[in-house]
Amino acid sequence: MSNEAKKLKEELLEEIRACHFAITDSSLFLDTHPGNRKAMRYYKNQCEKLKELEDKYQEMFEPLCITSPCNRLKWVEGAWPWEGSDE
Amino acid sequence: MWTYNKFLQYPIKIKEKDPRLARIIISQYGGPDGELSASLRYLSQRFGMPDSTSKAVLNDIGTEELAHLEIVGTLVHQLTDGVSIKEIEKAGLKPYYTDYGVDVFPVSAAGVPWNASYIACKNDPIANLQEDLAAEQKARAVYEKLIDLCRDNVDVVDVLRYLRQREIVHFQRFDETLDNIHERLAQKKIFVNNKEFTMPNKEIKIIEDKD
Repeated sequence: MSNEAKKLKEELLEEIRACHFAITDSSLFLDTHPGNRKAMRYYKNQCEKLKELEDKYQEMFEPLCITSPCNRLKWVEGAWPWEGSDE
Repeated sequence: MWTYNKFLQYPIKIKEKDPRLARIIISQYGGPDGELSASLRYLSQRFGMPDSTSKAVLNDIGTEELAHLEIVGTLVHQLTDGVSIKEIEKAGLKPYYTDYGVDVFPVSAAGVPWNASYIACKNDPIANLQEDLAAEQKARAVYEKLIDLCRDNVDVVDVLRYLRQREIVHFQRFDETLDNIHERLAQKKIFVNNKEFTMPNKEIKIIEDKD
């Protein structure tokens, strides 16, 4: 993978992580504040954004979840999150 | 059910390996107030909760704790992976290394293997949520001790600060859930005893005052 592609992959994953976290945190908030419209709008926007980002990442690089129609070889052989490698 | 996302909830790249820190951080993996205790406590308690809010909160926080278990395991792994035997000896990890090598095994900093008696399920929403509130505060206190002890390793401290912050958010959500249950109990004009409120598979009876 070229350095440019590596950089793009890393940046995209960072955006996915941030978006996923925004969903986790806002959905916890919505558990106890079901009527909060601002939080609800934010949550929905982040969900839509995450889907776009994940589709893009998985098409360009490798699967993030086995529920995506994935390249099995890349699921098995790609680096695992705890390894912290630059692969 | 769960599906795995192949990324960490918070990114971890430890540049300086240090098995001395792994030796204490492991407590948040398999110690009394660690993430394994947290996830199993909430995911077990959720079955007996009386209303949809408390079921959702326990389910969703329990799920997030599994992601935190992975984060703590990753810290321990990256701090010890590939270090020399000499470094392991110097870190006081000889007993751990004897039994587990550099695998990540759920024990406390003092070397006590994880035990289910660290958690409680009382089939009583107030008792359970009070336990959960205390658990979040205890975990926060442990992260603060770890931040003190790991102060020289900025990569490690950054992750510990993130985890500490999540304990505070979880405490807040549990507190709101408990308030919600107290409010529902207070709504009843005719006193419904706690046993009936907490009986599994029974809807909460709210008896309206006809006056």
